[in-house]
Amino acid sequence: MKITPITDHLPLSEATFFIMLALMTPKHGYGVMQMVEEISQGAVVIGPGTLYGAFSNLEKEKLIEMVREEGRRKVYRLTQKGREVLAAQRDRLKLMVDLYDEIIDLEEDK
Amino acid sequence: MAERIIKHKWFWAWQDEKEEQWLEDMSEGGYHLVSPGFFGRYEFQKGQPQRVIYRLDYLAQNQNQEDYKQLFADAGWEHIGKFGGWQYFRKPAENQGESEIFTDVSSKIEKYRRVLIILVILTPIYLLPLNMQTILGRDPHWLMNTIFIFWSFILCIMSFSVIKLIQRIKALKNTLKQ
Repeated sequence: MKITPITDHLPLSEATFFIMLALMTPKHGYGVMQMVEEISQGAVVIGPGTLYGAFSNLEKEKLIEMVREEGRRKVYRLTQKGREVLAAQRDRLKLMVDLYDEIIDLEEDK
Repeated sequence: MAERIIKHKWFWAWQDEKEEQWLEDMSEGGYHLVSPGFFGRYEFQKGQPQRVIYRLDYLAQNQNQEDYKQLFADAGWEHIGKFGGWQYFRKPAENQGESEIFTDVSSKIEKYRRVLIILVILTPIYLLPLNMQTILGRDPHWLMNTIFIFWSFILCIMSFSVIKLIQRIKALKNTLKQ
């Protein structure tokens, strides 16, 4: 079986990043939409079309998996690989923020 | 019994936004969609004029859609029906919340890609009658000629649809690069 390296999944889009973050604990689609809106204080809103597509892609890439069905709703959670991809994205973002701060500080010290 | 009317109108694959706009105009005029266009046949029910948002999605596979419909319902979208892979949704305009089913450009691009793939897969079927022409020889029956002309027209429309969809995807990709 072919294993895609973690970096092949990067960078994650904003919507995908938040969806994966919400799936650290099992949730159904609408639960994810609500949580993302809540934790971003309304700054990130995900429509159902975007969410459904993201779920299908993430499931295909084995970054999320279905854990159970609640009536008509499917409950998903992040896989181990999903966690690794999310962590790798976090490190990339951290690097960008750190470099930004460093350069801005240098500018201000001048 | 509330009054129902049938309207015939044809929209091509790349005219989904035009179709949404038309359905919104109909609702504002008091005609609300009951069942969507089976080959351009739309059924409306007369009611109070209302501002309604209509949105179209496209699903390539017709697998079990219960979770799909449930997700849209949870987000406040009523599933009115489907025609082929086209899924028709609506929600009242005064409702709070997001008025789009696709909230980023890449998922919108994916929708048009799904339509495009189906069109391309169907191409051999549309090319078939053209081969029949060569099989039947140089002097076929007039009926065959008529079918041939009709089919050539369909083929032109198909090719045009593919070009239009590719253009739409390219335009969306350009907005991504900004």
